[in-house]
Amino acid sequence: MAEYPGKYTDWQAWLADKLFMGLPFGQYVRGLITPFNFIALIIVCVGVALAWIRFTQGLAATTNLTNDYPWGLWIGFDVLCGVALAAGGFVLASTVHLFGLRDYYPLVRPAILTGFLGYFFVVVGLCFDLGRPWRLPYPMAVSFGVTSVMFLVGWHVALYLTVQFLEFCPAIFEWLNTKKLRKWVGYLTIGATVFGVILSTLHQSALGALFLLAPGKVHPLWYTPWIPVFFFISAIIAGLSMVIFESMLSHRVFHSQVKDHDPAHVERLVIGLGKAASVVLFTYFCLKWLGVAHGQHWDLLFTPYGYWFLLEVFGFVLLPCFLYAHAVRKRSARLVQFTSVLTVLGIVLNRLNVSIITFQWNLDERYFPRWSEFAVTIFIVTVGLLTFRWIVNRMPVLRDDPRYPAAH
Amino acid sequence: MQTLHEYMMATKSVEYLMAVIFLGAFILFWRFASRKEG
Amino acid sequence: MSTSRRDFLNLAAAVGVVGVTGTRRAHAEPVRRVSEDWMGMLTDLTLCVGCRKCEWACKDANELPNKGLLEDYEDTSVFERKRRMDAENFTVVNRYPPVEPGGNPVDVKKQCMHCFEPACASACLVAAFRKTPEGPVLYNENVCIGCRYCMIACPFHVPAYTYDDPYTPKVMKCTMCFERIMQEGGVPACAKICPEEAITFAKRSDLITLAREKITHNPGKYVEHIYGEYEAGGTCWLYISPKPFEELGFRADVSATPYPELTKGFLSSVPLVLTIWPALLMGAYAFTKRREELAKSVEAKQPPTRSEEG
Repeated sequence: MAEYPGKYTDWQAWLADKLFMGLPFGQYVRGLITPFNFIALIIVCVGVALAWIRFTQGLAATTNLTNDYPWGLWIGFDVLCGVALAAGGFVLASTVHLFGLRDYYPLVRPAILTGFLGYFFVVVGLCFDLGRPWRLPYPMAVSFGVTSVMFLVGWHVALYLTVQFLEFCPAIFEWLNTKKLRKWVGYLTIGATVFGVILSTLHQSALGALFLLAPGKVHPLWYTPWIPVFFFISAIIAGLSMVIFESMLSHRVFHSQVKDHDPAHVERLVIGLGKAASVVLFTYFCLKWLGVAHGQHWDLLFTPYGYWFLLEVFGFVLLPCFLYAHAVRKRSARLVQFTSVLTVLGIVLNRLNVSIITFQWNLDERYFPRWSEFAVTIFIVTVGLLTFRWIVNRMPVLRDDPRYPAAH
Repeated sequence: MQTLHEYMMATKSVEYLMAVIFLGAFILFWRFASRKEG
Repeated sequence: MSTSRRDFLNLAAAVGVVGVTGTRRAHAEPVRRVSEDWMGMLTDLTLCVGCRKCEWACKDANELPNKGLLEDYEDTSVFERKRRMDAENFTVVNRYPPVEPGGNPVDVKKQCMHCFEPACASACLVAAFRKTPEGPVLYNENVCIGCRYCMIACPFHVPAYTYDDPYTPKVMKCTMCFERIMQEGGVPACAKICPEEAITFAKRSDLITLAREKITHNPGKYVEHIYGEYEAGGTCWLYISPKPFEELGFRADVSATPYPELTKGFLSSVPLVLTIWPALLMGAYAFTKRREELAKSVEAKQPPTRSEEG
């Protein structure tokens, strides 16, 4: 701490700098009174109240889950979509650190932070859904169901959280200005990145593999032995698109931090990611059709579920594929950013289709989430956003710390 | 389809054909995406 | 079937169970893939009259809530909609139209099928389900974390969950009266109370023989299929029926593939990824580093030229 030019008088000043961004307490609090924060406060209050009800009265009081629909919004969206949308971490980390595309360095830290917080809040969402969340460590330490794909998912998410945390530690140690720790953790980057890609490959695909055990329950147009591959590839698409979407959002919200960035440079990066997303989307489109061919379910295309499938594949896979490609040709970052939203919605749609919408497609009674399930989901997302904002406002994520010249 | 074997052959050939078509389409797509406009 | 024959089979079953387990130690022996010793249940759907005494007996034996009085079960209005097993009912009887108009309706009792290779056991990440050497598939609530993946996996829509319990929610399903059958002369409650002797408890292999005999000796009375013989890789609970099973609420699309096989392919690829990925990724990294070193050394030898792009 002695190296920092503005030397702290005592630990209170250090704390004030770290917590209140160097502002006097009163000014900091006044700065918190914004419309967004007000809405966030309401959401958080409702969420805390619902959490209380959930954990004291059980799942029946707060969800519409049934014996035929054991998984609902909290698994279908919070867990499945959350993990897919947090995939930007391993995609960007490998792009920069393993494949050497150093230009993308400015996007790595936000992507890793999104990845870490994304997975962390997925686990929070999972704790709402589990019947006995306090037993979450059981598959790690108490009883091992090694034939279960879910066992794999549990282990990998736990390990991956650790790896993402390690990958984010450089930013934390720069913030705390602990030079030795910063240096030490920097050596871990490559290993952590490689391990992170391995873990991501396995658990992104494992989340799809979960549904291999439900051949009669997931609609045949979505059920294929290749679900694991589809989930992995679409996770890459989701990761790329989220990084694009977030960079646009961050550059607006955290304007003061990024004012030194060259906007043209960032636009080039965004367009580059758009091209990558376009290529992967094209591949994914082809794979989906191979899946239909493999299952020999061409006749099902002309049923209501079939039209829904066509909508997903043409409207949310092929369309964004061409929009991205067109945007790349026209060098329009704006179109890339618009398309990223469409793409993210498409991945969400796909995950919901497999886990909820076409699940038990033979049953007449359908599941629809209760308002409290939506409210808890929004609560978790909001807390995630608030955490992201807290960290980005303090730690060197969108900007470099001048004391640590770009170690990249 | 008389026998399972014929059935498998038929399935496989459709998939291989599709894979070849997709490869060609991919090449065309790559060229489309790489050409710069404006 | 005459009373004496049924009694004989039940006695043989009870002896069989005790014979298998009599000298067993406290810890479980590894269960062979298919065991000749497994006990089973056979339900003859031509005999069931829909009295639902089995439902009462099951709730009684398992101390399930809202048991009610035995007389209450004579109310046939429950047949107006198709029920499934839930947290308070390990077994349900549903009514279906008769084989021929004007005939007796066909009543179908559903409960856990006690599969050879249960999907629930394969799915469970804490191994809360186990196939006992005696045949029944049992659930251990002491390790269950409540993820409900077993409910997703079961092709027969068996496991139910106590969603309204905040602190000790658990999966609920038929146990084939495991504790009872482990005792001398023990018979599952449903089989014992059935006044029509529609349910037989015996060694599963004996039940297959019995079922085949019934079908062969009564041409036209039964559909030539024993449900559970091969479905999901084989189950300990078997059915024979006067009507095609699809018309009686049975899943016709359950193939003979045991459910654990469905994920074996994926699970076996895990070690491959763990082995190959590091080499591939470190290879990419090494290639990248080399390329950067070359670029640096080229820059060092020549004066740097200004390039348009940053």
